[in-house]
Amino acid sequence: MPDVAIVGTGQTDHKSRREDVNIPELAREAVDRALADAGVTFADIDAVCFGNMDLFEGLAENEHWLASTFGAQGKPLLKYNTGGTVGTSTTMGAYYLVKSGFYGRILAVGFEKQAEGNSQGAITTVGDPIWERPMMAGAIGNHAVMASTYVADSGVTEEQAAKVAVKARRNACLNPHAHLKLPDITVEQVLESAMLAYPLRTLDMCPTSNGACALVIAADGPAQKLAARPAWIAAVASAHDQSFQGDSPKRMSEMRSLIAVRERLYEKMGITDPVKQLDVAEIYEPQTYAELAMCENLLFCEKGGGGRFIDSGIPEIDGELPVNPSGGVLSTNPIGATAMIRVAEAAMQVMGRAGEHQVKPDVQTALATGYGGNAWSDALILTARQPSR
Amino acid sequence: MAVGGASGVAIIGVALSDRFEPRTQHPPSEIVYPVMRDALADAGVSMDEIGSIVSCSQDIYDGRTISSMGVNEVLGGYLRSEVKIAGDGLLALLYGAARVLSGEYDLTVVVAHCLESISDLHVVENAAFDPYVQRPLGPDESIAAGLQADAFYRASGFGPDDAAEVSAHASEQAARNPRAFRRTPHTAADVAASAPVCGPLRELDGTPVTDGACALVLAAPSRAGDNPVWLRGIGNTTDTFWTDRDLVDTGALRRAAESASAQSGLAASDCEVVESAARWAHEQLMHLPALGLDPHADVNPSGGQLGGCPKYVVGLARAAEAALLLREGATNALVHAPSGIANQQHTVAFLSRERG
Repeated sequence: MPDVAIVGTGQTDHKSRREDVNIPELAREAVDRALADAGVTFADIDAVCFGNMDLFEGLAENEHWLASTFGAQGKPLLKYNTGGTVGTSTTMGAYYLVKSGFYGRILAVGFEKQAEGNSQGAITTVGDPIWERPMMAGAIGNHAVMASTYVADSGVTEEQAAKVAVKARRNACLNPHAHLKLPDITVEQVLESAMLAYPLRTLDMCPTSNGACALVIAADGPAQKLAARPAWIAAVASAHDQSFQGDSPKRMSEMRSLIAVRERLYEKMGITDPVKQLDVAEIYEPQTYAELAMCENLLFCEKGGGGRFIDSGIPEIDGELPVNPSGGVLSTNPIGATAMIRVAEAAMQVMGRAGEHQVKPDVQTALATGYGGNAWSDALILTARQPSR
Repeated sequence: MAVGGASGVAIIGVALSDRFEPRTQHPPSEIVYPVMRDALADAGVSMDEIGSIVSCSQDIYDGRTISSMGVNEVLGGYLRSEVKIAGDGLLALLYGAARVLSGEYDLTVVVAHCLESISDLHVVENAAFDPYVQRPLGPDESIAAGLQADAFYRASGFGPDDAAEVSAHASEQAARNPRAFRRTPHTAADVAASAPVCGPLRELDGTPVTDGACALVLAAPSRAGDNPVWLRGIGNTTDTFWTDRDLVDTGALRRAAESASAQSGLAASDCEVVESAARWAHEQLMHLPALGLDPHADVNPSGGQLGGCPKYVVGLARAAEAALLLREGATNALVHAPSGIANQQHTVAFLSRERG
């Protein structure tokens, strides 16, 4: 089975509103940039993998309306629809379709134009219509419950969570595509920002973005021709938690699905000390407390040590293991593209194309994660070294 | 252009809903659980052996974002790799086959479900149209199908009487299949006398509203057991949106069929079983020549989609019906399902008792 690599990435400049473009035009911006980054045209693409939460824009089966936007006419087109993880689900779908030998070069694309819909209204429908939905109010209430249990178990303070918010929005200033750039943000500002649902304040949460992301993914052979330094997809894993919140009451302090994917990835890659063995991590942190909990469960620090981990400076952009040098989800969140942006940013670091937020010239190993659905975790490890060589 | 093929993927477990029929009182989980249970039992494997599940459903039909979450428990998604495709079930089969061929999973379950009966179909179908310039005009899939049928009749020399014969024959086949909805055959005269829908289309030219699910267990050769049906090739091609193309052009279907043929070394003429989904009877007359068959060929022994089978499940159900007939003695089968407004996208697969 051939090795599989990312050879080109493209993103829009993410914003809260893009009234200058319609949905196809928004998606096409990222597609054109990814094709240019890989030095290919639509004629070089064998198949298209597309991810989007169409209900968020009140659409259905939008892969058909958008087929020509992706240059998919005359080609296979697969649509993935998995919530926050959709960008990583789509990337993994492309990975398996290349790994299997079905196709040699795939265009993967995800987008969300939330200003044209009602994402939080749609997210409320993820719960069971009888037992859960009447108590739901979009993502914030759900995350507040999860963050509360994490605070209770870990003793993480509001100040420590605020440091995550500061790190993200300052890193975003180095990323030309990032949405929420706050160069002068302070811990005090975060602590003074409006309370949404305890313990989450406005600046603890990700923004609502409009944007798109695309990747060109290629098999061993074409990959080396299209990129001097491809980002090889060395390992992928995906797992769910229980659907009902009541079946996993400590969902954020015991991230069962993230632990499951971590165990699979680290075993395959021989990772025992991720802070030393990973060069950078782009993780899907919907809010500040989640980043700390995820760092614990990815073994970047000891259990319950998330607060001390951010205090240590290790996850800062110039630290030993930079976490979300792009500014992360806290700075940019076009949902259908968000997880793919994690992969694209990890790939850019491996390929040496991250510009001002490149953490070091020679990134050998990068981790990207996706998070969504009902505590669903995806994770990929990208390497500069070709896996089978 | 495909660079590889599906040779090396076995179908070892098959299950369909007992009968495709409106089940308005059942949530999706109660419709998916029986096919999941039965497919695993048919394959002789336990859930403990499964690491990979590819599901297929549509949010707007389930009234639920990430519709696979509503059935996650019965899919066995907890701590496993379950991923959802939104499209025809044969696309989930393509992705499931890729997971097996990657070498990372020796078993993958592919499951599709849809409940057509719980929605206002005009509203949910309208949501698939261009939201800026088409949706406000009120189109739905029946209107697009009527325009396509009209164009096809004008271009081909076929007419409503030919479609009525297709529908009548499908109802006879369906009446012999306990899983199909239609239990009473109708005649071509019944079709002609049925209520007008859109343009030349009449109610009995079309498929009834049904709910249901289908599951297949896919396996690598090492787990194929002693009664496998082999997926020999699977091709998919999308066309441009319905208003950007000639509605009678079947180039996308031809291309999908060529891809599946190139992978499998099989052609329609090699197949004793053909399951080609048509939501409206004229589609069968349009599509069979593109598959290399006579438009009047005797196809769809199951009764096909015209006998009753919900959208999105339909392609996987065609593969399931074909696999069951291969177990009963046939050698090769061709499976086809379109999806999208006026059949924008096509998937074609060849199944065989021989690995090839």
